[in-house]
Formats: sequence, structure tokens, C-alpha cells
Amino acid sequence: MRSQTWLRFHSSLVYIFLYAPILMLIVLSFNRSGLPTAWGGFSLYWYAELLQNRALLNAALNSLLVASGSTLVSAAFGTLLAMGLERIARNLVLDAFVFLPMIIPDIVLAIALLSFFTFIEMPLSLLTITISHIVFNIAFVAAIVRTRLSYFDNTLEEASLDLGAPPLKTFFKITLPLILPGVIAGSLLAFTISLDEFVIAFFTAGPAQPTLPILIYSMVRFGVTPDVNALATIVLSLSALLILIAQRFGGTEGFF
Amino acid sequence: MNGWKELIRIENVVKRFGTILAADHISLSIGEGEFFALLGPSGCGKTTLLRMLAGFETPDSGSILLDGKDLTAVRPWNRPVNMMFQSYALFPHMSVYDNIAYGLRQEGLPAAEVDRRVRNALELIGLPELAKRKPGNLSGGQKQRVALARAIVKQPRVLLLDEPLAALDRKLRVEMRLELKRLQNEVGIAFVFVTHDQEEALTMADRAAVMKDGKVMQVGTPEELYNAPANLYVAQFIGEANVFAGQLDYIDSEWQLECGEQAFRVSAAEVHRSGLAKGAQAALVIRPERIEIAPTSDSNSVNQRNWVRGQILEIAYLGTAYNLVVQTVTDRRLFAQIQAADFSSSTFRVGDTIRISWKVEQGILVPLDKL
Repeated sequence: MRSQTWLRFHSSLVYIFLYAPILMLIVLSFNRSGLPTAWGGFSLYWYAELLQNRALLNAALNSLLVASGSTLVSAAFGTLLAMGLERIARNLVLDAFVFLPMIIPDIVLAIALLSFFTFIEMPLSLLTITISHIVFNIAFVAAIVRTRLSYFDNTLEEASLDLGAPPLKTFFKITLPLILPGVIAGSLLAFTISLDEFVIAFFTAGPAQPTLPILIYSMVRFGVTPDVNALATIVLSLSALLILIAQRFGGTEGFF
Repeated sequence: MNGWKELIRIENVVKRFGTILAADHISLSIGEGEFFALLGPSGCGKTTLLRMLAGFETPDSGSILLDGKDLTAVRPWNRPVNMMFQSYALFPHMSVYDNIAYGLRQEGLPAAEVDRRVRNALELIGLPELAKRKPGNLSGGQKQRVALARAIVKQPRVLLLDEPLAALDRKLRVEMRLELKRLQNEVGIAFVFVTHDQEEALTMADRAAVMKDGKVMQVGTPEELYNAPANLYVAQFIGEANVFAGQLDYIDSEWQLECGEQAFRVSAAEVHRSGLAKGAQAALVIRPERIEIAPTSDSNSVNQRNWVRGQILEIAYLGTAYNLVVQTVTDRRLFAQIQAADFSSSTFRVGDTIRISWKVEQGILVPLDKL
């Protein structure tokens, strides 16, 4: 009993440590005064103000574009990659190289990608950020789809072929619907990571089109306007929602 | 077999997986509407042969013909052949109805026709009320029926069944044997099924191929396999067998098998059937139920019978019969099955010395397999 009390106390502390700053941010976004030190009453003023801030909204749109683009491409290629790894390659070295982008320090990946784009003389833009995000997002999608695939009974595909559905049709009618929870979970995770990724985006972004994290970072240096709190709260809610959905789909039980 | 007409012809098929020869020059014919079993222990190549019929594996050489046409290059989705998988492989994200309709929809049949045939198939397996269920909510026996319906509904020329009853519990398995037999009669499609269970093969199949190490050891009706095995392997794989190995001899116008300790008479018909000649290495196989026992004091004639003396080691009561294990003077163990009506438990007790005998014509003569 005693150790349980202590454990509960300890985990409460951890949660407070993790979430108190975030909670404070959310509270401040509703603070009319806009100052972190004085409560001016509950208000949606800064949310209204946010709608007037062209630069912030543009950056948010850029981030959404990058996240959507990289997620779509990663979902398709990551899924194919997972199928190849699970069924054809079965090679530890290949495996390791696929999942390496997930663990390489962002800064290393960022420098590598920047050198690469410079080398092939590709002008930096939203496209280069998107390509860079695809690099690690493919790995995340592949990793998650693969766990789903390892539970997949291959005789289901044989049964479909046997019943007269050619391979491509079999993929869309049988395989994809059954691994879809994994694909969705992987995509949501990829989207979330891409949305708030800073280091790699910072290195591979063009001068005129910052993503949201880059813009906020540059604003911090000249003083943050309180509408950033409102934006952060929105992004946070969106991320949390996506992660929750991803967890729901990620289970091996699936949604059937 | 009356009106037997060839449907499938397997010619000299060879299939190798690495160093393993899964099909070693297999040739067989399967008739239209026939219930055919591929029988053998695991790893004998029976499943590989079935998968080659379905098109999931391609023979390295040789050919498979259906209705006289070469199937070898035809892909699985274009073959008029359907398979019931051992795991059933029902699509978990589709209802029972959609599972059964799946194959028909691939043919592009009109919805009304699909519906009519799916409903018929559901009637046939006796589960019309389960149409909307998902496979996850079915019992093992129900899954098996749905898998069967899904494969039959396309009216293939041949239905392939991979260990169809292996996943069921024993009682259901025995029921389903009859059920499968009834269904096969009803739909008139040729069934080719793979099994390692000789009892299953004997009770269901019209004919069976006994396989070992990628080779077909013998093809025949259950009666032929049991009463006239082509070799020692088949004799021992199908049913119980007491085996005496020795050299075939012809003395005093009588065939005999010299087994070292003793010589047994062999019927001329068996020598003729086995195709063995004087001096050949051979084995005499006696089925346990062909054996009769008598007390050593019994003075009845043992003419026309072979006999040995032995001591009863074990007696097991089976309801309709008794199973006996008898040890001969030369330390050989023999198995005898005596009908309960012919057995008196006061006459025969464990430890008694008895006389075991069988009619000469009931000894089965087979070549001694080269191992």
C-alpha cells in the first residue's frame, strides 16, 4: 500500500512537470491582458487577433501544406516499404537502414539534406522542406504499418487470388482495408511530427516561406505577441487529437 | 469405377524447394466428380501438390492438365479451381454474405444472380441466418462451412481442400466427414483433399494417393490400399500391421517366407499380385483383426493357417473388441484385435501362452522397401 501511495505521488509530480507549462500556455491564451504576470479576465480576444495576423496564418498554412504533402507521400511509400520489408527483404541490415532516419539526430539529418539540396542546386522552398520531412516520415509510417502487417494472415491474399481477384484488386480489396488502421495511425503520427518539426525545416526552408515553428522562433527573438499563445493552443489541440486517433487505430485489434 | 472420366492429369511433375524435393516425378489422374485424397505424413509434398493445382506454386517441370488443357501457365485467379484453406482464410472485414459473394463479384455477375447464388450456398451449408455476421463471431464449425460455401459457390471444376477438418475438435470432425461427403454428392464437383489422417482419407475418399518424400507410393480405393498395398510403406501407413520380413521361397509346390525363426506359408495369389519371384526379399503383413487366438491346448487343426506361439502382454477392452499385445518366443511383438463375441476373458489372461494364427490367404505379401 505504502509503495503505491509513493508511486501515485511520484507520477503526479511527473505529470505536473510535463504539463504545467503547457497548461499555463493554454490559460494565458484566454487571458485578456496578454501579460504572463497579470490575469485580465477570460476572453477570446487573442484568438480574434490571431485571425488578423497575416504572417502567422500564412506560416500555419505553409506548415499544413508541408505536413499534408509529406504525409500523403510517406503513407503510400511507407506502406509499400513495410510490405517489401515484411515479405521480401527480411534483412536486418536493410531494416536498420530504413529506421535510421527515426533516430539520427535532427541536426545531422538537417545538415545532410541542406548539403544535398545545395549539391543538386535545388532552390530551397516549401518543396525542399516537404521532401526532407518525407525522409523521416516514411520510416515512421513503415515502422507502424509493419507491426500491423506482422499480424496479417497471408493466406487471405491467396484466398482472394483463388477466388478470382488479380493481385492489384486483391491489394485494394483485402490487404489495404486490413492494414488500414496501421496506415492511418502511421500517417497521423507523421502529420503531427511534420507539423511542428523545427530543426530540419529551419535548414531546408526558403527565405520567404517560413513554416509555423520557424516563424514563431523568429518572433520569440523580437518578443512574442500573445496571439501566438492562441495559435499554440490550437496546434496543441490538433496534435493531441491526432495522437489520440492514431492510438485508437494503432491497436492490434483494429477497428472492425 | 463406373463412368470414370479423367478431369485432372498430373504428368511427371517435379518441384524443388532448395535441396528438398517436394514433388518427385508425380503422375496421377483424378476423375470427374471424384472425392480424391492426397494422404501422407507432414512434409511428404501433398500440400505442395495441392498448391500447384491451385496455381500458387509452379512445377519446375512436368505439367498439370485440366479437361485436357495445360494449366501450368494459368494464374490462380484465372483457374476454374477453388481452394478451401486450412485456416479457412475468411476475410475478417466482410460479413459472411460478402465473403461468399466475393468470388462471384469478381466474375462480374449481375447483383441479382450473385444474391441468388449466395442464398443458395447459405442454404446448402445450413446457415442462412448467419449472412450478416462477421467471421470473428462464428464458431470453428461455422467458419468451416462458410469457407466451404465460399469456395463451392463459384462452381469450380475442382475444389481443393487443405486439411479441411484439422482445425475442428474430434466429435465435429467425425460429423463433418459425412457432411463433406453429402455436400460433394450434392454439388457433384471433384474434391481433392489433403490429409495426414488415414482414417479421414479412408472414410471420405473414393480414391487416395499415398505420398512419401515427394513421391506417390500408391493410388487406389481405400479397400485396395488396405487389402492390397503395393509396398510395405503403404501397408504400415494405412491401418495397423504386423510385419514379418524375410526371403520368398518355393518349396514342395508351396510358397513360403523364410523369416529366420520360422517359415510362413504365402498364398500363390498374393505372390502373383505382388509380382515377386523366388528368392526376393519380402514382407508378410497381417492385419490385427485377421488374427485368431486359441489356447495352446487347443487341438483344432491348423491346416491352411500360419501360426506362432506367444505370451499375452496386454489386453485392452475397446467395447466391440479386445486389443491384445502378444510376445512371441522370438521376442517379436504382435498386435491382435479379437471381436468381443469371440473372446473369453476367463480363458485368456495376461501372461498366458497362446497360439496365434491366421489364414494363409489373409497374409499380405509386399516387397521389402529399400530404405
